[in-house]
Amino acid sequence: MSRWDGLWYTLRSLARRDEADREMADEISFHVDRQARKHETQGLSRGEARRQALREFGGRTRWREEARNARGSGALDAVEQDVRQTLRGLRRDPAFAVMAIATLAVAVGANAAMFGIIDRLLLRGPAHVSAPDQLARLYVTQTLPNSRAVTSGWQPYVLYTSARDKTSAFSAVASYAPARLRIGVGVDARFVPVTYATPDLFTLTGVRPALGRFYTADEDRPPIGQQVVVIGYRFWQREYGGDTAIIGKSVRLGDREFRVVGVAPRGFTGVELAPVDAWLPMSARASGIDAQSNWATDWRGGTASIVGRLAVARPVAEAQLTAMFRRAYSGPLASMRKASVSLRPIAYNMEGAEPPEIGVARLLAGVALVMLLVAAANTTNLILARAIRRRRELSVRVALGAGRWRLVRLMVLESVMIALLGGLLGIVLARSGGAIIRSTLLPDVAWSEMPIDGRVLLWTAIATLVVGVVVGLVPALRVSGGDVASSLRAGRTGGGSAGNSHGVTRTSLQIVQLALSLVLLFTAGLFVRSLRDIRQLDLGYDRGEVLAVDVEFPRPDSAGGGANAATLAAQGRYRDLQTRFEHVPGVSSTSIAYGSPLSSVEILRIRVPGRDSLPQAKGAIVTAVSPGYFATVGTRIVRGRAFDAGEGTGTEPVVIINQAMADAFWPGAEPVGRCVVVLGMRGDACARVVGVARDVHHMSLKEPALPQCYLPWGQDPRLVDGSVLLVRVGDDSKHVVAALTAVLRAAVPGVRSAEIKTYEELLDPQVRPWRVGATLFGLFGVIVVAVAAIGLFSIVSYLVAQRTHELGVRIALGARRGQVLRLILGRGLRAAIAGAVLGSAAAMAIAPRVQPLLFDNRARDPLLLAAVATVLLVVATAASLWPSWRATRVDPVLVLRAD
Amino acid sequence: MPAERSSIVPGTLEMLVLKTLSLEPMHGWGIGERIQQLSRDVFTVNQGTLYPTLERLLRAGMITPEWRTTENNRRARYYRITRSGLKRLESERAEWARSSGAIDLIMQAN
Repeated sequence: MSRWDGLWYTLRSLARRDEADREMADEISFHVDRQARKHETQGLSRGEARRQALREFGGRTRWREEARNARGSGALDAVEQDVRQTLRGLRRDPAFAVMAIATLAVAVGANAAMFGIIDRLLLRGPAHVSAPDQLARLYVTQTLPNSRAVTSGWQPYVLYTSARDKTSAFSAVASYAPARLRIGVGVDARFVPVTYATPDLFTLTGVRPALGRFYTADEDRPPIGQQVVVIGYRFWQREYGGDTAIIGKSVRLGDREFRVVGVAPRGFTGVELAPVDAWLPMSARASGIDAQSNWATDWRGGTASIVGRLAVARPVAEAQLTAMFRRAYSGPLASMRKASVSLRPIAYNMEGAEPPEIGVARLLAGVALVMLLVAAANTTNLILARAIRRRRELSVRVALGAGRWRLVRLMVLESVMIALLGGLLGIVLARSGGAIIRSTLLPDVAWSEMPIDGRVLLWTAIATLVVGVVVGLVPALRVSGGDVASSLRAGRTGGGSAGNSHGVTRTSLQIVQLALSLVLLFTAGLFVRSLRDIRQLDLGYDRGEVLAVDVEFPRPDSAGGGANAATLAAQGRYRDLQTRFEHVPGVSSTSIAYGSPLSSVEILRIRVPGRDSLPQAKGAIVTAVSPGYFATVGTRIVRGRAFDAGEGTGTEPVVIINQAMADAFWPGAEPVGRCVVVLGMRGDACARVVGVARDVHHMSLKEPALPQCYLPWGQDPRLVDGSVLLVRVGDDSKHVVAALTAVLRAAVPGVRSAEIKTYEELLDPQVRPWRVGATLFGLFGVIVVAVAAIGLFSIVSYLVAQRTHELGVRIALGARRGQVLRLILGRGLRAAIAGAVLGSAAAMAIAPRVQPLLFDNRARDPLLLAAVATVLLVVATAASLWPSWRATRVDPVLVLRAD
Repeated sequence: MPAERSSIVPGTLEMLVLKTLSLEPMHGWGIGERIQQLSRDVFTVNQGTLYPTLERLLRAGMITPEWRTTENNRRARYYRITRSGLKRLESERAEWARSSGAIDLIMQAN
């Protein structure tokens, strides 16, 4: 009974600690008042009586503590008190606190950001996909006649049905193909990402619809299925405000109407990571593009991906599929009859390789992890240095009877609090930093969750706590175990020999870190140089001043006049637009072109009379251009002339060839005046070469110059529909784009869609890998250098703290400040130089692996290496300078007196 | 924490407090005064030990607190002895009698 009373009392006072404290204060003041009154009645003055009463009462706080201990809430109070004391201690040493917290924040932040990315990319797979590691994409590898092996993930539909019906490799298998479809009509029409997929993609992933249902196998029956659609969640929200009445309604995609049967759940992207706004039956694709009836059984070509859930072990499945493939293939290619089938992770690209983004992400995650390790080591050093500075305080505490356990507890508490503050700040950093990394590295991924989600938080919390405890425990055990006690007895020389093995570890870690930062900065520098090389690369045309206007006209009525009339009508539309564009202020010249650089490639078979035996004499890139083209895009004519205004339609066929073609067919001879036959044009008529244009990069930054023929636009009716308008502008392309858009809006008949981009923008996707490399490696490089600088600072500080006594003696014996500075600075710099040397060696060693990622420039770039090493040494010197300077301020008198 | 002037035999304060409270409910100051008074000023109670002792007794359920108004119209915390407190007092008293008798015997030996 009584025991319960007591327990109740303890619980009550714990729960209402404030109230209990207030009650206690009341009680004390009552007591003191009464005592004072007693003294007053004994003749003391009022003030004196009160003072006397207070004196008798003694240390009020102490009494309070003891009363609290008795009350049973002491343990909790002790923690609270320790926390307060720790915070006070940190506030007293702001430089230490800021450095420790900042290092951990950066490291934790980088880790949290990278973990979020790696988690989605590698660990969890696409959203709503159950057990993604059981899924595999099907690849076919064939050996070409030139004995080159080619692997492709693009497969014909018939391979999907064969894999499904003729093997037992998969428990479920599906085929899909991403595409873009236009919604709306006119200048404001947009293209949305859609995916044609067989309905078993839904069963394969295990996804459930957010609304309605998915389409069925009956609705996706070749050759022509039902016009049904499952719209994406994002699309549903954006276009229909999440209206549930959408089911059964019709949506216009491209030029067709689809009936909505369901809505996919939020974030569902199939087995890929890019957003999908609509899911359409596979058979809806064929009926739209070309309604050839045998597409579902044709082995030629391949335009869709096949994914399956493995039912047997991977090698068994691969053997089954390969055997089936070789039996079933009935296409024309001999190499395919010997091809083999392989199954690879769904994260791999269509060439069957791991996409470089994943490699970069993995690399950065590794760097982040090393950084965390290093940050932990830095913090350990900082804490150790601080503990040694506070050695006397700690020793006195020990002498006063503070247990070892309590000292350890205090130090670990301090480090855990530093880690927690750092972790908190790190999460904030990761929120914005993670978003930057995501949008730079993986702009096409549909992130359904925030950069910081529950899993990231959990991971970060665990990492933070572990780091916090370890970082505090190591110095705590060292300082509390013997070192301090002996240091109290032996003066302040302690920490010498015992610290050496630790010192070596610490210094090596530091050197590794400096080396790592050098490698990162160096790699970033290589990417920056690649970017600069690309910017300076002469593509053969101007990129900033040229706008490509890609317009889609309504399909001509097939009623009137046949193909010829249709071509003439199309030509008229392009010419009409061109005329209007010419009147837009800011436009200096315009041209119409088919198969022009960065827009499309048309390769036609050619014949060169007298040169047909040459291996190159098979095909050439053919580009049809209207007069003014070369001036508009800025491609130089090196021999002969450009096209005249009248050339093209009715006159003698003419052609302009590029240098590569001239060199291939007429090396050292005059090409102008020769004859080139473009097969299929004007009954294989001979086209006379009138000029030679310089080589251009047609589609890619890295490509060899291929033979190319320019024809007058209109000379070959095959090269009209699908042309682009090219517009040369001055500096102010923005205003011109707006004016061109207005022209397109007013055009009659209206365009179905239009896209205006500068050549620079068209080139951008190709430049991205280098920009990503430069940005991310630069970002991580700078962070790692900062962490390394703090690390160096902490090591030198530790050194100075440890040797204060020795330094004092040296100074007392007449060592000049400069000598002391050199002594300490030398230690820091030796580590920096060792790091720079190791880093340089590492940079040279990994150069062959970096080389393929670069653009043209060499990965072994001594100048860049020297520059980066210099930067590193400067930073290292700066980081060691402050603690070294402090070493020179050691007051010998204080040091010696302290003995 | 020993009393500063060792005015009370160590270990006996709890018993003395319980004895005082068994006479009537009292506040902290009053308990100290009463002990001093009953011992004819031989014992003075150190407040630094009195209140922790009170807390301990509260926790053990020997006494219960209640806020009351004093004769001078001030609010003060009074302590009242509980049944288990009374039982404890009895056992302590017996124990004290036994051990003090034993000490007397030893001291009187010659």
